[in-house]
Amino acid sequence: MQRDTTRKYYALYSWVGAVTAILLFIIAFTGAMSVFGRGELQVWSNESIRGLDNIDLPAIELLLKEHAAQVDPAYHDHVQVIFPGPHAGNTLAMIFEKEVEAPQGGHIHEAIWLGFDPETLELIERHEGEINELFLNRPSNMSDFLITFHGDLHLGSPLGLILTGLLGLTLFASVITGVVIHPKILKELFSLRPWRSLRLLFTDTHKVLGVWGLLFHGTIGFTGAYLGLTAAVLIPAGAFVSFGGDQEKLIATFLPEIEPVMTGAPAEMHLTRPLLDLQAEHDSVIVGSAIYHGWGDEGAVVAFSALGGSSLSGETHEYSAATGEPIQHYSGFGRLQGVTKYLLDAMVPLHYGNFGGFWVKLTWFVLGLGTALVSVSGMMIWLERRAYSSEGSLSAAQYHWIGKFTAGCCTGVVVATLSLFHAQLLLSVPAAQMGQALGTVFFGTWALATCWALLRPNAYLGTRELLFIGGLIAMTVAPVNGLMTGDWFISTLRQGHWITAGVDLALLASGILMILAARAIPGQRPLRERSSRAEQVVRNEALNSDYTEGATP
Amino acid sequence: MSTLPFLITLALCVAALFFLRQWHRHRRHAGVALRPALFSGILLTGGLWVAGIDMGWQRAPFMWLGILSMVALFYVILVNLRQTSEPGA
Repeated sequence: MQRDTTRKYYALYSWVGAVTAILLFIIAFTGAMSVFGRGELQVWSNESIRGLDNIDLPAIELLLKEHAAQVDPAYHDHVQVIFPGPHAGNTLAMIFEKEVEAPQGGHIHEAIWLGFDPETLELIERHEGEINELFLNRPSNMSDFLITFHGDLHLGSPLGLILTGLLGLTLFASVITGVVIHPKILKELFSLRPWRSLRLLFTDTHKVLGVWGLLFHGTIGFTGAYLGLTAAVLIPAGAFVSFGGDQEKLIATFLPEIEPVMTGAPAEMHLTRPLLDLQAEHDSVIVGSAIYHGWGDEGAVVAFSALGGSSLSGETHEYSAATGEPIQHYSGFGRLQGVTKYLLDAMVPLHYGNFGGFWVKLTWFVLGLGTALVSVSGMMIWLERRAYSSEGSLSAAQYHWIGKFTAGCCTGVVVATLSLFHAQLLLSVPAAQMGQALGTVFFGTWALATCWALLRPNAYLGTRELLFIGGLIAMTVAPVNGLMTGDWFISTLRQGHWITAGVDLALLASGILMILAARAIPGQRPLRERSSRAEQVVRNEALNSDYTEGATP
Repeated sequence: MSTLPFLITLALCVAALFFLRQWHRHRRHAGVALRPALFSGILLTGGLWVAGIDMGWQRAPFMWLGILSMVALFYVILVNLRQTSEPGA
């Protein structure tokens, strides 16, 4: 390749990286945490489902029939049950929906939402309204907060989604340009020189993390861009071009709704029988919800949403609600033709790593941290080259401020994320206001951490101190959990609450690692290179004074 | 993925990386590099096969690539830390 072209790619790579590195770190770090969001963190955040081993299906079926008989039959268009558990909700929810014509065209879905205690099955909440509003306003916890923050930075749709989608594209573009500008990638596949110099350490770490995680980073970038931009840009644009702006029609074309063949003959609806059949036939699946189409009719269909089958994505299993006989099962886009269905089905599971249980999640978590470190190590290289050599157009002091800001933002988001665990345990606010309270703690801690780093003499000291604080926060989660909920680490182990015990233990281990890392980071830039910089400054000053003296008459 | 297949795939990837590194050192000498390349290829195929048996062939390649990437990161870091901390390194 021409040298000029490589240089242009390098300029593009370094500037795109520098501009987006902090945001990429934030998205990648919270993304790595979100891998455990639907599952382990969901269970840990909800005391009510920590010890939930089995749900009483016959009792739930009875309850469903009882409430279905009580609500207006107009709300029987769709009857949904969301089971309590790590992949669904913290309460047992029953939602009765009716479709009404919207004044501006299309349909809106009015719903009655009933929430039950997962253990006692006592009715604890009742809401009425538009279904999307109800989903948006349902009580949240730190796990939901993290997932939403990763998805749209809490900026909402479309702004937040477009921003995260564009960051995904940036990551994908950086992977491609990174490969192009590093022609010696194969040669440096195994080279990491940790003790020679700081700049070499940053460079080698960046290359090793980048090269070995290349496919992962590329996949995460591409799927992230797809997930962010589809809802915010592609669907509205596609609907505008092909369906006269009717987004519902576009979605129905790609994901056709289940249309039961209604006979008009009444029939008793079943839940337990088909669900037990499903679990017996596919022993590894986890069922999150069931939706009835045509409630009360002989031709009614119940569709179970399940994770953990043989396909990459989640699957829908259709059963006759009247007889409990299986009808068909398919993946999310399984009813499309050709390769498209495989591609579209792969997007969500490849992004969130939820296609194969705990070990896949752990692998995705580690690689996700790798993505975060690639972006921040790239930023460190960018700063090193400018603050301590002749590259760059700003003064050394300005680059130091950028360094301190980077340290504050990146380490600060780690500290803020860890503080969410304490906030979840210590805040006693109504469930509906929990999201807002968590937001105050998260953004407050983050802002404080960033200010702290900016006030420190250098980025190294700021990072070191914030890592130490983060380590302490992480280590104290388990005892605070014991004090607040009575779930002491030993007792959770005895009771077999493995997820709660595992999260506590993982946080303790992370805390220890962070404190060890804090101890390993120097309080200032290593002296050898500082002195060389100092020598350079002295040299420059000497040259300047020579010039001034020479110029003075 | 179940725990045992995960650990077996992990171990096979570590072993494959050991040979992959040997191949990488001698890659310019086809005669010397052939054997480690062959061994690493067999071990990597073995890892993929174990993952495929456990998870099904639709999901296994992604998991296998994930495990390989993760193991490689730790392997490169640990091997280099060990080597440079040895006396005379």
